[in-house]
Amino acid sequence: MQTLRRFLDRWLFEEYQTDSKSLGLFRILFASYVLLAELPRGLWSLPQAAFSPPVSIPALFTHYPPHWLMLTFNIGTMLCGCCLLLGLFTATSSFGMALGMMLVNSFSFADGKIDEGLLMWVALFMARSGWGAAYSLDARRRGAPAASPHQAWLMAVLAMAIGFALFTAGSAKLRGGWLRPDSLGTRYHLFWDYYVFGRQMPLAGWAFRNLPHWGWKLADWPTVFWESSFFLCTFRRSWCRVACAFGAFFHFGVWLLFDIEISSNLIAYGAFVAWAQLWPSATAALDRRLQTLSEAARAALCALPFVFSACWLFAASPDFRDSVTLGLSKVLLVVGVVFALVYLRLRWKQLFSAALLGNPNRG
Amino acid sequence: MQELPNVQIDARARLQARVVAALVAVLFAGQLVYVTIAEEPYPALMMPRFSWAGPNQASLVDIPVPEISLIYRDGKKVRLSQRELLGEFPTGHHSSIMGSILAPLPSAPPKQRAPAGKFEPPTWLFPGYGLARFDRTDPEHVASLKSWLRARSREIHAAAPVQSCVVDWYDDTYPYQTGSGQEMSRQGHTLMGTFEVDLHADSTPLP
Repeated sequence: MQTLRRFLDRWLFEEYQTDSKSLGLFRILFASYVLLAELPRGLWSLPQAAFSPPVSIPALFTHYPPHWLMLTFNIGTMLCGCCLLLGLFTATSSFGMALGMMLVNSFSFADGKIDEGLLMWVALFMARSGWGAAYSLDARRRGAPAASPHQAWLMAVLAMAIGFALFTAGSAKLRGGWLRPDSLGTRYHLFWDYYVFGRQMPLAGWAFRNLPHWGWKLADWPTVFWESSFFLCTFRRSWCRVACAFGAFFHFGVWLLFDIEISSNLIAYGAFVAWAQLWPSATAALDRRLQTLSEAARAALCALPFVFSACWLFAASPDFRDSVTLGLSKVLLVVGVVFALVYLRLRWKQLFSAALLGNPNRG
Repeated sequence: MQELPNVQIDARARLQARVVAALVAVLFAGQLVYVTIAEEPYPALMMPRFSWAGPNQASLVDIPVPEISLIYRDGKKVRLSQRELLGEFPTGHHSSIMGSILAPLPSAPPKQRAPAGKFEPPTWLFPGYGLARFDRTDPEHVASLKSWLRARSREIHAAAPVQSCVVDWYDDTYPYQTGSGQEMSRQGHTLMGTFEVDLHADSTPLP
């Protein structure tokens, strides 16, 4: 019992310790992505006849909310996103963003279709993680990092929550027969995607014509294994990062085969990347640059997210927003695969050198 | 770059952290049980499931496909796909929306809002749950559908008022081959039902 408790405490309080600059850079990446790709949402006008919410806040009512209320939810969430991006009242804006995303999504899914995602949970669990301790107005106002201490356990809980969410997908596939040697789960769902929804990606056509049975199973089995076992990997940050790297390949493959761009999950995995250590000289250059910024430049930088969000919400057409979001998602999926390749190569080299030299180096 | 030391957490804060972590795990276990007996709620810690692995032997797969026609008073008839009619909304939501507003009415009124075999949450608490699929002949439902269809019809062809919207639902049949190296081609196109909405300004409810 003592051993288990020590193990869990080590996982909860030590495993996910991260430097504040990495957390700060992740906060900026996360808030920028949500402002660009996730908001505004649900501003369309469906007929009341389509109101068919799942068990959720909208199900407490019998009508869609008025347009002005959806607009208010979106504006509130975007304001929280801007504050989070700047690191202003970081914990509050992070909680506000989680709540706002929950409300906006709830009413967007009131037609009965839920688009599952992880970003709301990231905003919720990271709120008090200390991701406002660097590159933030909070740090300038009160002095960092004491103003926003790092709570590593919240990152451990976030990793566990992501693992749980993926487990629901993996366990459902297990029950649905994806591991049976004679079933072809990927091919069956690609059949619907290709012929019914008309998402005819070149790789999908090639796969239908050329991929042998065992080739399809090479898509089925790793998918189930990865989704089901992700949460087990969260007990070690290095394993979690490896699982996230495989996730980048998975989402890249889903895009190439199904034409479905799930870049939001990549952003969630980004919580476990040591961003400041990726390119230390660039981080140092950024620090120097920020210190030498004039007051006018600082003010302009702070105003930028608010001005952008106002233009994005009121001036950009939905089609333009969709095209930008789609382009951004594709870029992120490619970048995610590059990151994953580089990380796995580094891990391989570390493991190789550890095996040869007995120098284990946890990454 | 050195990682910052974790903030010094006192015993009380450590206990709170353990409780929160345990609570997340317990709530997740509860969610797992709930989704086995009821439909997925929101929010929930979930990802898309795509659970069924498909037929494990060659078989025919029927896919419901709607063909939408807008008939205008100047004689013009515009045929639309589901994607063209609902282009304003996210593609992933189209099937759900079509099922709620333009699918043929069931022969008998549904007895409950939840799918067959699933737990139905109490309607006194969740009066909106599954409303569209349960109450499609409600005058308010019909009026909102007509209003939306008229507005959408004007966007598509503004020269004349719309007279009616006819949705023919076909079952497209594909021979699903379990073997590889085969593209599949549609082998059947069978009319399964029609849903018509009279869009005259003074028209009465749905047929």
